[in-house]
Amino acid sequence: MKSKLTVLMISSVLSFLLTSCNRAEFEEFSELGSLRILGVVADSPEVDGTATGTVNISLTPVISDIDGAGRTFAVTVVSCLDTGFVQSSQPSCENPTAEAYPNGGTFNTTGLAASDFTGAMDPITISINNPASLIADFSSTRRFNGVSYYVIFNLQSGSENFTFVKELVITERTPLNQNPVIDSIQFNGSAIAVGPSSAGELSMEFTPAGEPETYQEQRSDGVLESVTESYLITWFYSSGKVSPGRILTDQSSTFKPDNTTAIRLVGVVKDRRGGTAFVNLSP
Amino acid sequence: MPFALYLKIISSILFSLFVFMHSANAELELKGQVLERGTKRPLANVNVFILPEGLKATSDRDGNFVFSNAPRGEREWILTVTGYKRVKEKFTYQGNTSDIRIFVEKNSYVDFETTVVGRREKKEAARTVLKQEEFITLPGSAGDPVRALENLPGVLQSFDANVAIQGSPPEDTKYLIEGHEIPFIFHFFGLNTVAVPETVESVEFLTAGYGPEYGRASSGIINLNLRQPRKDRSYGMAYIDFTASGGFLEGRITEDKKQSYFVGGRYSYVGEVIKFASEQIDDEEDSPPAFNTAPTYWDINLTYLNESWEKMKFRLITLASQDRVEAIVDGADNPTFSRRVFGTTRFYRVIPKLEFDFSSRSKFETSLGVGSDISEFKPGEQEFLIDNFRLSWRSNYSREVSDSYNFNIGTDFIFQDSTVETRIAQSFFSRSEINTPFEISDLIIGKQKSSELQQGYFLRNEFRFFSQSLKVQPNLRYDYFKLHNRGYLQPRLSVIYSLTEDSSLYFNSGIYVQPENSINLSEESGNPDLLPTQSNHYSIRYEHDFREGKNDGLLLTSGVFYKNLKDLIADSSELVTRDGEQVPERFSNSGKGEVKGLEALLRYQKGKTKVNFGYTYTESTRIDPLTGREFPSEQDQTHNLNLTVAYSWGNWNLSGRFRYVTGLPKTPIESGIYFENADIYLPVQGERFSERLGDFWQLDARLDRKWIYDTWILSFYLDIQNITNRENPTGIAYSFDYSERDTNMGLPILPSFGVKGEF
Repeated sequence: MKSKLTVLMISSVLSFLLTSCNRAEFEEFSELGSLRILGVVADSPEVDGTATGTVNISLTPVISDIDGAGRTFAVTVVSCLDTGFVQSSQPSCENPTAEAYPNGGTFNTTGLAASDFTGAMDPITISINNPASLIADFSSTRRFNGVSYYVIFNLQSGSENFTFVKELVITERTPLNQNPVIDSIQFNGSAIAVGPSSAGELSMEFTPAGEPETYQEQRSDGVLESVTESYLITWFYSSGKVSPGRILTDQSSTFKPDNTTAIRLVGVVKDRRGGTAFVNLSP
Repeated sequence: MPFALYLKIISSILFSLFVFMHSANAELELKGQVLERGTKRPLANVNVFILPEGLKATSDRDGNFVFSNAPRGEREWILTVTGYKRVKEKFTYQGNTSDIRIFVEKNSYVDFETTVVGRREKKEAARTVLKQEEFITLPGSAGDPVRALENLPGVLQSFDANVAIQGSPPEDTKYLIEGHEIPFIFHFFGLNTVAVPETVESVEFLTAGYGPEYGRASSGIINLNLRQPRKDRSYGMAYIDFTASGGFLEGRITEDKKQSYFVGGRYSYVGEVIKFASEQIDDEEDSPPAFNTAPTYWDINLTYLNESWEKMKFRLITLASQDRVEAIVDGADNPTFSRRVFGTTRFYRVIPKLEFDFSSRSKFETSLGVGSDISEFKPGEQEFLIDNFRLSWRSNYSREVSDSYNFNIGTDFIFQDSTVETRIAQSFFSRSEINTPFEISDLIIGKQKSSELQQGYFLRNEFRFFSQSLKVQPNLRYDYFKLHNRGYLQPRLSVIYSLTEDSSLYFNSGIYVQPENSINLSEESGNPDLLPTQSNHYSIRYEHDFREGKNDGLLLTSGVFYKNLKDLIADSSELVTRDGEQVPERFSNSGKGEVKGLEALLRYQKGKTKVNFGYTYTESTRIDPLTGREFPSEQDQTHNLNLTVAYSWGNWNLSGRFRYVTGLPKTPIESGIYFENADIYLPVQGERFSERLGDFWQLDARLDRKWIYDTWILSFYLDIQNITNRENPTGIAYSFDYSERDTNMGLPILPSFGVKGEF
């Protein structure tokens, strides 16, 4: 039965990859145009699971809405402890806490500094009361590795709704996770401050303190394992093509422009433990 | 010269002349052997005539014949054997004795003719057996024993390496070799069964209402019985085709033919072909997977047979198989599958088997299955490894007590010792049709060791009434599952009523219990409180043989079946309290459903033409545990139609197959929620299985040709799948945010060919 699961998975993956083809050309993940959330930066991706007071976390979404050409969104935010959110076919919060978004719960993309409506939204502060009691009923392994606390945003404009989720982790593990810190975006081996307009190689460099961290995970038998983060870097661009659009730490991508016009380039790095950082390069 | 000397000389000359003249017409001993051309199979009871004298000798069971008074000089053989071409050959014989071989050619080497078919034995309707001569020649299956089952009603069209039976999921079907469970029956892609087809004697297919000898499967059983080695001569085969090459050798070890052997194997290079094709595609927009190592598979089979004892037979079978693939996927939309995907599965079994024939009325068989199953799957940075040692024991004692009663009783034990290492997403174990993406599913990290013992006992009774026209089989099976710490009594009833000599009515019913595996029962990755799933089967079948004991004619089988399914495993997002702690439940026994259907099989043969028509109508439904709503299951293939036609002439065989299948149900994804941490979108499902893919239909054709030589046979085949190049839907593809969708299509027209030599 167990081997059959593996064969099922292998054959399904391979059958899909090798024997299936579809005719449509879907929109590329990294191409900017329609409303996209590029990341949500938390000032602290992890929450101290031994804290008994109130812990405040500031969250800043980074969006791009080129095709929207400047519009106002109604913003609603709720938060809740994980009760199987991601396992459900209809993800939603159980017993959600309503959070107050600034500006009366609205955001206008025209206010973004970039002319192509790409940049950071107003930050929102989430207050988590007595994190220790929130996770007290979970197993020790779960408390050590972390219990998820979700912050769910919804942007609504006209008939269009867009939902995105930021996961905070309440954990008894120390030290708490920190965000990556980007030192520079490298293009053909040199740091750049604006989007490129010619072909070349893109990569990302981090400050010493912002490099992937090594942390511990507890196995089900209680044994601690050391794990080193592997950053996921995503390139978002307004034209041309970056290939591959997503890379891991110490890898690089190739940029091919459509023309000689400089592009908007956003490099977003995630440590996949809630830590996020970005660099937004104007044309 | 003295007269005495003169007389002496004359006498010597006359004597020499006499000897010379006598030897010119002397009759001598001539030995020879009659063999089937190409296969070298000895032919027994063949009359060999020498003309013009009309001398006759008859071959013994080893094909040997002797003429004790064979005349010298030019003569003519004549041999006439039913089913073979007449032999009439001139030969010149000068020696005293010789080993002459006469090769007799069959009328056809592509059509397996049997001179006596007889009427079909009426055993149980829930069991179908395809013998080698049937599955080798069935069109559309490339001679593969398990793919040939697709031509039968009740077997669902599958697009991967699994078999689904009568509306139930593939994991509810068990695969066995010689009665012992193996982890998979196909190599990946579902192209080939794990044993070379020529090594398989028959494939047994058990469906709703199957007998008590087997269990632990809610849906059905597929069992391969391997062929015993040939003892009459040495024999070998080697082949090469589009996907693999292989061969085998067999023969007797001792002159008395009491011991014989078989060794065979196969290696596939289909991955090299795929890798080469993959590298030729130069399309940046649609990056195919680049294979770091080409997908490969191999399998080997070794058999030793010892019949040195009068009432006992010993057989030792060893089977091993491996599949391996490693690919680099440049998919920007899925970071977990970006880069490296590695998977391998392998197993081996050593099966010693003893058979005792105490008398014509009682028999005992016992066998062990010893081996291990290893599976490893590494998608990106995650990994899953199982190392499973398995020991199974089967025994069966059968006795014909009287003309009206017989029984058999036996055991069916399995012991497993497993080590499971995981660093993989919880969704890997999900039963849902749309899984939570790996990147955001809880990571199951750990190393689990477990052992389990599954005890099975069975009793089959057969009571015969009314001159054996009515057979009633009240059967019983008991299973105890250590991991569940529970035992289950499973009564099963079969009734066979012969309406006439050529028509019968069958009724089968029973309870079937399927245990859950140790991973899904573990606290770390599953739910230790899960119960086995249970299903109640009922089937009625009518069979009419219009052939009246001959080969030609029509055979009709049709029936209905019903399965009631309980305690099905379903994903759960609930939190439960266990040992004072809140933990995710992950799975529950909240699922239930039912399957009902109708099957029909028509087999028609007229001379060299064979037609098979199979049809299945299925309604397979499940109940949503949360809402109580009924919805079609993932295996609800409403109509499944299979038509095969084959025609042979000389050593040519042309066959075709047409398949039609209703599109499978699918659950649509209505939208996506962006999950920032993993940079991925969560699918938001629509109503479960509320849509269907387009219907599938396909036309395949195959041409076989044999060239027969004295001591070997050369075969060639050309197989074309999907001759009309139809784009059959196999699934739905979505954009990264689920805002766009398109249909995945299956393989286009696919020709393949192969060459085989038998010696």
